[in-house]
Formats: sequence, C-alpha cells, structure tokens
Amino acid sequence: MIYVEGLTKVFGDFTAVGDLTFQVTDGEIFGLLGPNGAGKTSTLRMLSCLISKTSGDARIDDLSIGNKEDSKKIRRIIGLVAENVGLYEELSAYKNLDFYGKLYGLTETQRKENVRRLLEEFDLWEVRDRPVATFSKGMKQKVAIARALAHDPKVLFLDEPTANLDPEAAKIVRDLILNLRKEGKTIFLNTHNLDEAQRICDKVGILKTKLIALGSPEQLKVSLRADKTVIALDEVNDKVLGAIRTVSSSEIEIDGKKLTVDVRNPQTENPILIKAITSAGGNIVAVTQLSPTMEEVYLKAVREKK
Amino acid sequence: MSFRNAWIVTQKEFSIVRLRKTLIYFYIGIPLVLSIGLPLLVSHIINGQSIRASDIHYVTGLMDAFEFFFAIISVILSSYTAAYSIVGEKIQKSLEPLLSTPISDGEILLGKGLSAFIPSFAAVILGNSIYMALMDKVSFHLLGYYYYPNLSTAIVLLLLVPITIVFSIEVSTVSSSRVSDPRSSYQLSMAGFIPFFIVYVLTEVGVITLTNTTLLAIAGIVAVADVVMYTVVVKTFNRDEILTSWK
Repeated sequence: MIYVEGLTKVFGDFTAVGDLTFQVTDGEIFGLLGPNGAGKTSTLRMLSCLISKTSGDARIDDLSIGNKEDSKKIRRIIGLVAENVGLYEELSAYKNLDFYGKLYGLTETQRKENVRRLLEEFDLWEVRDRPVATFSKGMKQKVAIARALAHDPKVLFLDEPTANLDPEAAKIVRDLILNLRKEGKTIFLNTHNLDEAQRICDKVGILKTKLIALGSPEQLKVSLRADKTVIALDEVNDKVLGAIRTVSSSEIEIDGKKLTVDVRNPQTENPILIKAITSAGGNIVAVTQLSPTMEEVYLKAVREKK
Repeated sequence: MSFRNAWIVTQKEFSIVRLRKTLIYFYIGIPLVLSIGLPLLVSHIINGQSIRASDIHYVTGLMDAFEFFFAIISVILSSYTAAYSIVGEKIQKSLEPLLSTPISDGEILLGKGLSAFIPSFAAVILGNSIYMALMDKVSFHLLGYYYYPNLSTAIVLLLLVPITIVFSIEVSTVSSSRVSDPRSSYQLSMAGFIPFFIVYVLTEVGVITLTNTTLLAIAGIVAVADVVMYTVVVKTFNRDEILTSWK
C-alpha cells in the first residue's frame, strides 16, 4: 500500500529526512517513532502530499507522490489527522464533517449517511449540533478522526493522535485505531508514545533523520538484543561479580541481592552465566528473564545511532 | 481550478461569518454611517449658506470626493474579513487538514477571496445606493437636477471598487502569512488603505480633481497593482510555504 525508497527532504542546508526506505502493507498499522525533530512530521507531510519531497520515490496504492495528477488522486484515498486537530471551533461537529465530505465530492446522501455513521460510531451523534469549541480534547480528537474518515479513505495518517490526551481519552483513540485496522484500513501513525507503538503497531520504524531500525516490535527487541537476565542471589560478593565479568562483557546492574545483566542471546548466555556464578560459590535463588520494553529498544536504537 | 470547490470554501466561510456578530455589524455599520452621515453633512453645508455658483462647484466636488470614499471603505471591509479568514485558519491550525484534501491551493484562495469580496462589494453597493438617494434629495434644490447616478459612480462602483477589493484581499493574504493574530494582520492589511486615503486627501486640498479620467487612471494603477500582488500571493499561498515558512 505504501512504498517508500530513498525518500529525502532537505530544507535549505538542513536535512529533515534522509534516505528513508520502508513499506507498509494493506491493513497494517505502521508506527513511526522518533525524538522531537527526528523528521516524523515531515515524513507524514510528504506522504500525504502536503509538502514536496527533495528526492527519492514514494508511492501509495501505486500512485506516485510528487506527480501532480497522482498527488490529487492520493489525496482522495487518504485521510489525515494532523498533530493539531484543526477543527473549525465555531462550527458544529456535523458541519465540520459535512464540509470535508463536500470537499471530497460526496453527494448529499453519501454525506448524510457517512457523517451519521461516523458520529454514531464515535459516540458523538447526540452532540452533533454543538460547536466544537465546547468539546473536550478527547471529543475533539474523535471529531478529527471522524473527519479524516468522512470519505472512507484506504489509508489513514495520524500525527501524534494521543498526545495531550488524558489516559482514558487516549485509550478510546487507541481502540478506535484498532477498530479501523479491523475494517481493513492501512494506518500510518506518528508517535513518541512507545507503549502505544508496542500495543497497536504491526510494524515500527525508529527515525532519527534516517531510519535506524525497522520491524515488528518483537523483531526489534530481538534485533537490538536488549534482553536482560535478573539473577537473585543469597549474597552478592566480588568473587561472583568477577566470575560474571569473565563470561560477559555487559554492564552489571546491582540492586541489593539482585544482579541484572544485558544478554544478547538468553538461551546460550544464561547457562554460561549460571555456571560461572555457581562455580564461584554463588547461591542462586531465582533467575528471571526480562523482555525489553519498547522504551528500552527505542533508547538503545537512538543511543547506538549517536 | 474548480469553482465548485472554491464555492464550498466560501460557503464554509459564510457559515462562520454568520456566527461572528461583530463582522455583521461591521458590514452594516460602516456603510450605513457613511451613506447617512455624508448627505447630512452636505445638507448642513447647503442650508447654512446662501447659494452662489461657486457653491455649486464646491458641493459637486465634495460629492465626487465622497463617492471615492466608498472605494476606501471597500478596502476596510474586505481587509477585515480576509485577515480574519486566513489568520483564523492559522489560529485553529485547520490549514493542514484542509490542504490534505483534493482541493488545490488556488481553489482555497479563490474561496476565501470570494468570501471577503461578496459581502464587501454588496455592503458598498447597498451603502452607496442609500448615499446616492439621500444625496440627490439634499442636493436637488441646489443643483436643480439629480446628480446621481452618473458616469463617475459607474466607474467607482463597477470598476474601481471591485479591483480595489481584490487588491485589499491580496494584501491581507500576504500580511496574514507573517502574523498569527487577526488584529495584527488587519493592521498590516490596512497598508492597502494608505494610497487611497492619500488620493482622497489630495482631492480635498484641491491638488487633484476626481474627473472620470482621473478615476480611470487610478483604476489602471490599481489593476496593475492587482497583477503584481497576485504573483506575490501565488508565491506566498502554496502548501510548501504555508506548512514550512508561515509564522
């Protein structure tokens, strides 16, 4: 559905996005992670035909981004939820959606049907005639998502959709995104909420001007080898620590009687560690394998890039 | 360029304007004050003096200058709406989602331009109609004929006012790209008012006379300014510029 190869955006002498290559298949949720200023919004804007690309190739549904005629067609099959909801605050939720339906060339009957269906689905039908200015942030975000879906797009671009939302509203938005995947929509999500990426994304790209990691959240955890082994002992002493250091070059975190060791391959490294500790006279109480959080994977990728 | 798309934007702007009562009062208030106030002023001048031939010349000169006043208020009215329309989108950050739809930059601009043009032009025409009717009533006994409508009126209303409104909208569009507050944008847009005010002052002090030829010359200059400003507007109002350079 989305094909990107060597996509680059340069502003003057500043490269915002460099040589980006990835693909998003139909019905997938793709999450683009990265620190502020990493180029996430510029990437989203290029893919949604809002700003021009400097070089590279990008296509959505086999339509070429950068080609004037194709760009117009692309805008018909995508929906965008920008970082700021960008609603007309004086107008009602219904009028906001109806206006966008008109821009996408929907007939009056189609608009009535779509707007009603979306507002009912998003639990906003009862307040459809109230000015959007009176809505909570969560409600506004729902209106913004509904607006982006008014023309039933194939691809939905979301830029930080849960930023500034309280946990309950954020959960509602995440559930909406998951429901959209069930409906077969392809979703491109910009976020720096790592937990969110782990929970809802099928594929994740970590961006820092260039793409520094790409894969499913599980694949990234494996490829970045950020597993940890926690070993609880009845006593931690220099002999035990020395024994670990002879078999592992990883840093050892000591927390009372617990040692945490970074391991690249738990299956092969854990038996070696255990053997070294017991040989040094250490008495192991428990061994726990910690799978890394998305945050750890992300931080590792970003730090390795530095 | 699809006029249908532009008109959708215009209709949306009208729905917002309808909710902003101050804008409606502005459109009604300013033309009404002029259309009633100026004939009252002339009535006061005529009634306060004995009629001489020189008075007739003075009064008709005054009426010509007052007629030009309607070109000036067309700048005031259209700048106000255009400034609010574009800066309003900036404040609500609604341009990004709008630009992601199949509508072109030109269609958005045309839609917004029409939403400023139509009410401004209508307000000037209505205000001027009241002005002409009242002015004819108060000046008839001095002149012995109805002064309005005349060729000058046609030049001002049907040529100068429309192209002046276009110029004013163009100035507002460019100034709106530099600020993020409607008042600042409006104040900047009022730069378009200055040349017209200078012409008015020069008329009042007798440096120039607003004959039909003078009015056509002014219209020619404004038309050239429209074309020049159009190139600036096209450069300013494109999606790359809006999303990356606008403040």
